[in-house]
Amino acid sequence: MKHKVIIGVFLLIFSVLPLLLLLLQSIAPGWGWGELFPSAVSVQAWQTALGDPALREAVAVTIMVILFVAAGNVILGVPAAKMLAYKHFRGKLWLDNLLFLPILIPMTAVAMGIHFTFIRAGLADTWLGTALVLFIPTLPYTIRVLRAGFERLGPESEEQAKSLGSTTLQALMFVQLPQIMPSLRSAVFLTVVITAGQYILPVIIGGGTVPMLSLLYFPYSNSANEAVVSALSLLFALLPLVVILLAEMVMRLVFAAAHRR
Amino acid sequence: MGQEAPKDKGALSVIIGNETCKLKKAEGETGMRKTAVLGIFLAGTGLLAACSSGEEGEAQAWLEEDWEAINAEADGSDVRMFMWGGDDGLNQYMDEYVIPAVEQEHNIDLERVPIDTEESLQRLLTEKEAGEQEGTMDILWLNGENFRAAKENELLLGSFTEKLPRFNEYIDADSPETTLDFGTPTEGMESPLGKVQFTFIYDTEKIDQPPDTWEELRQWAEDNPGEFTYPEATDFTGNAFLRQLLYDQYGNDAAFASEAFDEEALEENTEPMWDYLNELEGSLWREGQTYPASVEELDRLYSRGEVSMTMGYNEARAESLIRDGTFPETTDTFMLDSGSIGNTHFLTMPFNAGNPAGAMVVMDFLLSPEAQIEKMNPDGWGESSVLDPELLTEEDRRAMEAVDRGASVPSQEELDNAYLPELDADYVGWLEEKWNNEVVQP
Repeated sequence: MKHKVIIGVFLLIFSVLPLLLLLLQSIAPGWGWGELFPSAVSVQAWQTALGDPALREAVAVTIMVILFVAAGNVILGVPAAKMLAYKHFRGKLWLDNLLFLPILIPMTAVAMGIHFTFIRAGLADTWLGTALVLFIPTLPYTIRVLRAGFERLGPESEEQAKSLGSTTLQALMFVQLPQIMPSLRSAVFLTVVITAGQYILPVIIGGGTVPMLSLLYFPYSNSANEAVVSALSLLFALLPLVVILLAEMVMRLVFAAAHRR
Repeated sequence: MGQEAPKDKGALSVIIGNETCKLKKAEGETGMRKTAVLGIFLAGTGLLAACSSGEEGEAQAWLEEDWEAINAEADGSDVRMFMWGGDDGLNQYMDEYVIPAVEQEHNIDLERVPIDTEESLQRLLTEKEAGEQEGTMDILWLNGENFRAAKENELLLGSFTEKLPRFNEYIDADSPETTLDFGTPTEGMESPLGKVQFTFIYDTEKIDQPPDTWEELRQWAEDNPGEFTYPEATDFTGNAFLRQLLYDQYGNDAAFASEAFDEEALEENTEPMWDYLNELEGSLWREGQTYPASVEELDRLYSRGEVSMTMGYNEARAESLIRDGTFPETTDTFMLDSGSIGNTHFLTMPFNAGNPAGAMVVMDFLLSPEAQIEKMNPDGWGESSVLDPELLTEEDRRAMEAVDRGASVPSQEELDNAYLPELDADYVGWLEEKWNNEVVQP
């Protein structure tokens, strides 16, 4: 009971109140210092934010890119994480560090080189190129998170499933993955949030021809009109939420289908 | 940064990029073996082919065509315009007026791509290295430091303004406002879009009589501690504030702008300026222990009533913020008697523009009296025209004079009288460093 109260208070202070403040700011332009209540209420900021004609396309493209990156992360991350968790081999420490390296190197330094390579490969200025480059800031996290999940689970359940006659893939799909669902969820969550928040990579690689939402949002974050910034911030926060719900539905459907067979 | 044209950070990386090309050029003169080793290394990354491939692309060929052919080619084409997108007024002007108008008049599908100018230049630099001749960018909005970096790195298509009929008709091509961009000769490589002047913004409810001189400003700040501050020197507007003060050290003589940048003389002559700023510091917001990182932060302090003054490198910037309720209705604009620096911002085409013909038609359209008059509308961008009133028809001139830019915008006469040409881009970096050493450090 006591725990619940503490958690509730924390939730209120750190997530509900700031969101509420954003909402208020978005409809109350010129809410002055020292005024307890805003002097005027207007939906103009929302009109500006939603009236941007590029917005609808940006939302569609962003969702598509994020889902692609999230799915790719799971497909690439699961085998890598499983191997790192259970297999012992020479140079494992090196490989482990190598896989984590992309996060440690500043993205702007890498972006130019990748852009150069992508121009040559014909991937620059395409949505595929943009989606591919977004694996760099996400895949290291996915592997880390999933690996921890596999390590907690231990190799025994796979051995047992195999002794009962299942293949490696069956063991993974029916036994291991359902048990590491929490890790899988965290990995997808991280991927979605990180992907949505990227600015430099989509700008450099996508060149403005791939309209990600962050491209629309970031220029406004410098504007003096706090109401528009607040409205866009809310939209921007809503998007990952929608995508995570979508991803959750997909994952459930996949496992449900797998179970029926 | 309100509406005052592209920012100028990120020049460093651009310059680094240039070094690699210089390295490559010098390499041909060294010994054979060294060349071979370097060659293998560079060929691996593809740099070799890129830097030496200075051959004229298809894009340049359009600079030789006549206007009729250009117009015919532009008809029905797509044009991508890369411009910083953080200002509602500017975006609105582009989306609601320019894009439908060029669609209707020239059957051109214009797309506005909201990207910071530094990022755009960064991309161009990589594209040049990679030998990409068919770029996605047709028009780029820039000025100052960014223009100089682009010009020095040969990222621009070339000299084109004399191709534009309306440039020839309405622009005073010999005026320093057109021929110089922060001291860098434009040489026809960029076409003017608009111009802005530095002004202070204040709340008439809190200040009866705005200061006329720097001394009065200091006195007012002293009498009203905590109600004034300015953005850091690294901010576009903060730096303009310092340049405005620097001008004062040289008697606000417009000739100062045409003097070559001389660091030694500056060190000697600017002592009073740093004394002034240090003296002012004690009366600033939070006693000058911290400065707003950007003019937008200062604006927010102002709109919340924490300070009584803000500023902007655009005489009309307060107007749209008053109209959308961000600034109080009692907001007005003033300039010091010593003058107000102004700059022009421009449009240009990158070396690998995919559709130079379409780009030129759009830039020509933007120089039409209709487009420039619409740009002055305070409900949209509210920005000053670049056309020379002397060259306009009687009718257009009247129409331009009839535009009500809003009560907070100083009259064109006041602005013209106060106008001081912008300083060389070298001063920007020098002021950043010096301000940090003299004002922040001690």
